[in-house]
Amino acid sequence: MKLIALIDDDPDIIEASSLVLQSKGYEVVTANNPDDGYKIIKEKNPDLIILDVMMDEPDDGFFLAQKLRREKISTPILMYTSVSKTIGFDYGQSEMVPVDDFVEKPISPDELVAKVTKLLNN
Amino acid sequence: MKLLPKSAYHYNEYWKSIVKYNNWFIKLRFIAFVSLINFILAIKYFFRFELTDIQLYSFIIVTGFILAYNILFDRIKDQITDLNSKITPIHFSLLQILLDLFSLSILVYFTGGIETPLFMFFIFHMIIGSLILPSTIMYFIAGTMIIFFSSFSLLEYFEVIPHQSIVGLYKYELYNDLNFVIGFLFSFSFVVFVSIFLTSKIVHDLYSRESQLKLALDDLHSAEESKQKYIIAVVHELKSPITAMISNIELITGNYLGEVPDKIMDKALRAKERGIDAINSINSILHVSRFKLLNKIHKDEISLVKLFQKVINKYHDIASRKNIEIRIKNDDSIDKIIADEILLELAFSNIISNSIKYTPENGNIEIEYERKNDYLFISFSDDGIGIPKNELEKIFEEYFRASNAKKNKIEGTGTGLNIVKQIIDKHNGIIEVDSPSKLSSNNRPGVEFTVKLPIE
Repeated sequence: MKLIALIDDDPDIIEASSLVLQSKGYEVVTANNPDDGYKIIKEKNPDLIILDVMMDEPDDGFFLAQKLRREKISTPILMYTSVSKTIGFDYGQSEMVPVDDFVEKPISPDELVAKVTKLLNN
Repeated sequence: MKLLPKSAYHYNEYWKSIVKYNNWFIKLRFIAFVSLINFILAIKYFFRFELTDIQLYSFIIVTGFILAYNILFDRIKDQITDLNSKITPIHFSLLQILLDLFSLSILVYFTGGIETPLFMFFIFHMIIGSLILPSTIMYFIAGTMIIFFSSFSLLEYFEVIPHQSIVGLYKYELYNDLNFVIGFLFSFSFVVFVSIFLTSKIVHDLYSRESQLKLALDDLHSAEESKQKYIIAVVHELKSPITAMISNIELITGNYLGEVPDKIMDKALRAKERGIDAINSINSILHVSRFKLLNKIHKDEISLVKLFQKVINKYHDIASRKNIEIRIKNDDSIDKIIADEILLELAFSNIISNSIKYTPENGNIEIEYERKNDYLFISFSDDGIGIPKNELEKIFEEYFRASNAKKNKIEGTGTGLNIVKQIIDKHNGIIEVDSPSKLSSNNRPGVEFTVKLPIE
């Protein structure tokens, strides 16, 4: 069974996303801040990381993603964001934002499942 | 040596005006050249003054010299626009003034020295120079020039160097009258220095006033920036709980919590829809704030058919409640344009929602668009309450609301059309408004907005 680490500071988002992912047969471990998130990633070595871009600071998620990549952890990262192309912020793939894909909040269950499946199959 | 006046530091407008002045001087000098030719011809053939050979040749040589350096300046003027290079536009101005003064001095000498009417051109040059160069440099130039001019006049008086007068210009010779020479030199110097003083003062005041205005404008911009950052922060705070709420509702609508009765499903779907409406409004506000903050737009290829369909769908319910028909007319001459989709959608939505708001029951709204040459023309017409003629100009001002809108107690904030205009402006387009519209009928003048956008 594939293991997904879900890191977000909003308990409702954690719960809703976990339910959706579990119903599709994934195992989910969660953390509600970047430090705990880093710990569970090190301990459990998940197959996919879902990371919220904004926790306490507007770029907490980016920092964690950069830290992981610096440590040569190449687990795919799916980033939750509430700012995106819709409002004109275009992240794009770069050194600055070393993640594999984005999902814009509110997260539609179908889109989440589609993106997770795609990243896990790559 | 610092050539730049203090009031002009870090001031782009100043540099732009120097470049403009330099180009203007070159044009003026071509005119001066033509005038000099006419002057020589007039003296020789029209006034029948007696010119000695040396006078005639010196005029011709100086005139040719002026033409030669002016042609050279005209060639190089486009290369001297950079204020960071070794030769700045201000050096260029200084060079022009010095060469002009040199040429003028020769002409003055050969037209009678202290007796010549051409001395007035010295004052003219001092005024022009003071517009650009710092006053200390101008005083220095003027001082040097007066010393030369006085020395030559005195040398002529003591007959050390020959006097060159134009025979027939004056009845009596004046250069050998000491009272005249001293009186003239004194008043001439006085006029020169006062001209420099007054011109520099006016120019200095003008530039410092402009700098103050610029500072005030910068303050205003930074205030606007803080405001937009605040809006972005607040709206983000609102967005988080709404996204969490929608995520929870989607657990119900996606049957992740098991089957739910249809009645509950209907309401849950409705709640989700309204939540998404809220998110869309929030995204629009974020998009506009970002647009106002960075003054940048995000360009993509967009389809007009899809865009208008989206806008119309959004207002379909409200329009049908008032039995207003929204029609769209286009001739397939254009569909794809490069623009900021969200901003254009916002602008067009604003116009349509205004039309619905200000059109009574059983009304009509018509959107028509077509391509004419390199432009897209879109017209939005309705048969609503219209806008009084004398208020048409003001409707794009922030917080302005037409008198009949207030009288009819229609709610509104008066911010919509201002942002619409900003969006269209940013796309290098033009928006115009007219009332009555082409759909007008009895008691229903209506409004017609016309948007003209360049097709890139």
